[in-house]
Amino acid sequence: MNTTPKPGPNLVLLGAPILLAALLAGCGSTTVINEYRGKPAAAIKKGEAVVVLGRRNRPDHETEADFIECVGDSLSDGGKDVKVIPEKKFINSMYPYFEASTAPMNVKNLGTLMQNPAVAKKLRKLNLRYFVWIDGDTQTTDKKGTLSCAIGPGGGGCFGFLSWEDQSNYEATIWDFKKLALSGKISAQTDGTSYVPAVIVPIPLLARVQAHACKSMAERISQLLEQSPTTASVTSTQADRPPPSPASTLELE
Amino acid sequence: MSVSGKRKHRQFHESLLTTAVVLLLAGCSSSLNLKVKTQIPTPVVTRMPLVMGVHFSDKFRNYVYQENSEDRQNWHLDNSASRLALFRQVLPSMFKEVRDVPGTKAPAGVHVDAIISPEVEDMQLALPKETYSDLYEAWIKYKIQLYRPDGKLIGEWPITGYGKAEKGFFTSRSKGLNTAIDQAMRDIGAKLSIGFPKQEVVQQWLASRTNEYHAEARP
Repeated sequence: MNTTPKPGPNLVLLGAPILLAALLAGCGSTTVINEYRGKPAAAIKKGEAVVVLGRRNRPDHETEADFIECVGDSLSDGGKDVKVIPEKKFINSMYPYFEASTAPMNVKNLGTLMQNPAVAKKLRKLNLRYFVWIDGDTQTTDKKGTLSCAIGPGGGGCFGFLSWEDQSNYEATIWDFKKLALSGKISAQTDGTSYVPAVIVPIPLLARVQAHACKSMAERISQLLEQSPTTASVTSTQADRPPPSPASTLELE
Repeated sequence: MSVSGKRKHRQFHESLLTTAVVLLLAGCSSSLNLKVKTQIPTPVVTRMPLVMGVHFSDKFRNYVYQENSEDRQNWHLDNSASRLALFRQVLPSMFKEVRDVPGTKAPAGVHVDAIISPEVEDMQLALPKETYSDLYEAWIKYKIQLYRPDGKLIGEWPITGYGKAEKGFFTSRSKGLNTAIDQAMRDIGAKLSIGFPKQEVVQQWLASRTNEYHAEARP
């Protein structure tokens, strides 16, 4: 007698919603944006350039080069015709004035640097309008759980559960090169939790904290560069879920 | 699965295990043999109207960072090529003309206004696990000596370069240290090219040259 086996529960169908729920619930990132706008900036004109630079003079951290690249790429891909000069190219072409130990720390220093005819000529040739200085980093703040893997002649596998929290803290300072004035400051704080459950195969459910901070910051910088000179000071929050605490406006140094 | 298939399967797992063990052992080794590569851009500085001699002593040319301690077994870092490249790149941007001289005294018939001779004073390196940070760090200290063409020392001053590199997930120790040393070398080049005219000994020497010039020009 030929009997058809009764179909059992399909593990893929059962697992997919659980995995999706975990992805949606567990890997969200929260970004809090604080923004200060200084002297009203004129909207960037076609052909004018922006350079995004990382501050690297702090002893305890290094503003990541890939974050700077990400913000630069996001600005140039924003569809608003913003020409972005790559950081490395700019620093090499202006050597030795934009190294970690020699870069101008404020607009006044930039004005002093402009008294050097060779520097002034080179900067004007680039048709540079805005400097965007970014300081900060992304750190893992809390790690929990254990995950162990083993490999043997018969095969291998992992078992356990890991979770960690990442926090990004970045501040962008925007200088108007033509007016030699501070145009604004934008700070972005992003938090997110990542999980790696493992039953034989580890499944990383990662919160893209740095990428989220990059996107949020690039959007705000883009808005500031495109703004009409009417806004004075703005405080806002962008989040996948409600922020843990209310944001406060940055004060100008 | 056939017998030959099972054998191949076992051989594959054994080779995988051997590779993993070799990689683990290599990762735990503390020895280091690194030939540092540095790229220094051409400085955007105003050239001083001077013919500068440059002398690289054998000690400077052949300096190699070596250490053999419990934590740093057989460390051997050679950045001699990048050290010379740094001065060959930076000095011609600073002066009207740069001439190599065989010592700290100009040979007869060779006109130079002064001679620069650098020396390596110190080099220190730090790994992330040593400083409990996420950074590879490098400190390099040079002594810049400035001589008159007759070999008399005008003055000397130290230049310290600092560089750091973030510890990425896939950043090897060699790559991290190379990046940190590269940054430190760039820092030295920056401080030399910007700082040379601001050095007190240089300003005093330039002032004395002007006075000598005016004294000679006087009838």
